[in-house]
Amino acid sequence: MHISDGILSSEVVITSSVIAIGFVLYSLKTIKNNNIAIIAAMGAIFFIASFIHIPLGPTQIHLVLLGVIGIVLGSSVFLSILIALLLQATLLGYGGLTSLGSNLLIMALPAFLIYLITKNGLLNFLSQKMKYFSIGFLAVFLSTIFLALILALSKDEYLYASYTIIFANIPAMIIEGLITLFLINYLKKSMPTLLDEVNL
Amino acid sequence: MSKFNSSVLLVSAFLYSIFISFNKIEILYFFPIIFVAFCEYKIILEVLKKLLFLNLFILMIFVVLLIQSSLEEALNIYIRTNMIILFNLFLFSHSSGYDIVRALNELRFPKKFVSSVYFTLKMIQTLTDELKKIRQTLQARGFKSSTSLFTYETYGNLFGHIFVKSIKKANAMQDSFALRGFHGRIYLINNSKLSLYDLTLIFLVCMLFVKKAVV
Repeated sequence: MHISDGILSSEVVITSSVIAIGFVLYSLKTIKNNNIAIIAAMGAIFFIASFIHIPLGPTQIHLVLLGVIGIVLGSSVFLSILIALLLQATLLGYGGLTSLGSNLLIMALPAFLIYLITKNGLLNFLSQKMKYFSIGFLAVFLSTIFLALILALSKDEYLYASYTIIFANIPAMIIEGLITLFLINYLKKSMPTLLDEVNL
Repeated sequence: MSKFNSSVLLVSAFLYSIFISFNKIEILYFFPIIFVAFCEYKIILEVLKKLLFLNLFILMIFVVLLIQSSLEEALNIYIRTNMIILFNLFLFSHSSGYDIVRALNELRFPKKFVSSVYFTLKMIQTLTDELKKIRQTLQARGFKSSTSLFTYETYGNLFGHIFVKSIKKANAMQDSFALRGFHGRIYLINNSKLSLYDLTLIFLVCMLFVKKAVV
């Protein structure tokens, strides 16, 4: 779900970069020295998640794990994902440098929203399993919506591509939800206090 | 090892990406690519292979624009996106990531940001090794991934394990740095020397901006 350089319009690039810089500055202002290691750990997980391909019928998808990263990091997620995206853009060629702001909004904003939703108990009406599933599902859903929105805002011609991307990503949302369900179950058993802040 | 200074690499990559992203393609814009390809001629094939792999998403946009807009517009976006990726792939082909940390440090980025990038690279190395070990273990146990709930559960547990490992590793790293008096800043050796390669690269990239402003 990375947008490469040269695809977006200058208006969208400038606006998204300004918004993204605002979030990153907020992130930088709120982090303490003892949070740096965990921010790095989550950034590294986001980075290596793209190497793992999950089978889906005849095709494959890769994970982003935004839901779990979001609930672990809270507002620091902007810094963590920015670093991962910068490294992906330079070392792997995924995404780009001028589209860094847009890609950050596409990836980190859903993760932060999931953190807020979970922390405020907005998913508490669901059963535990459904709640864990929704964390993964919603993160990719929101991410896809933001991606489609940014593309559509950039050029009218991209509108068709935006719809295609939303439909194409539905299986990815479901698989991300399922894997997140098992992942959070594992975390609850191995590190029960890790997700206390978000009341999980 | 890269022929270029770390800061020059990063600044050139940003400047070139910004310039090419918002302009129609001209022959002159290929000069920086030709220069970096000349500098890294030994890995041209390797870089082109990577570029081919990265074309999947760009091709989709190309097809959409071809249907919805014009061939000229579709080709312009397709070529400029590939040019930027190609330029960056050549620039960072020898990079292990630590030169980016050095560049950010030299360019006076906030110290917390620089430290975070440094720690992220450390964690990427550790987790990549861990991932390799887990994959080998799964293979040894005869695990074959397929479209099944069992596969997704296995991947969920695999990532759960990586999360736990990374958090423990992060805490250990945190403690060891606290013992060494870490206060948010990583001290790096800066290399502000510029070679002829650096000057040529910066000249070629800046020339694009000057030409645009003058013409």
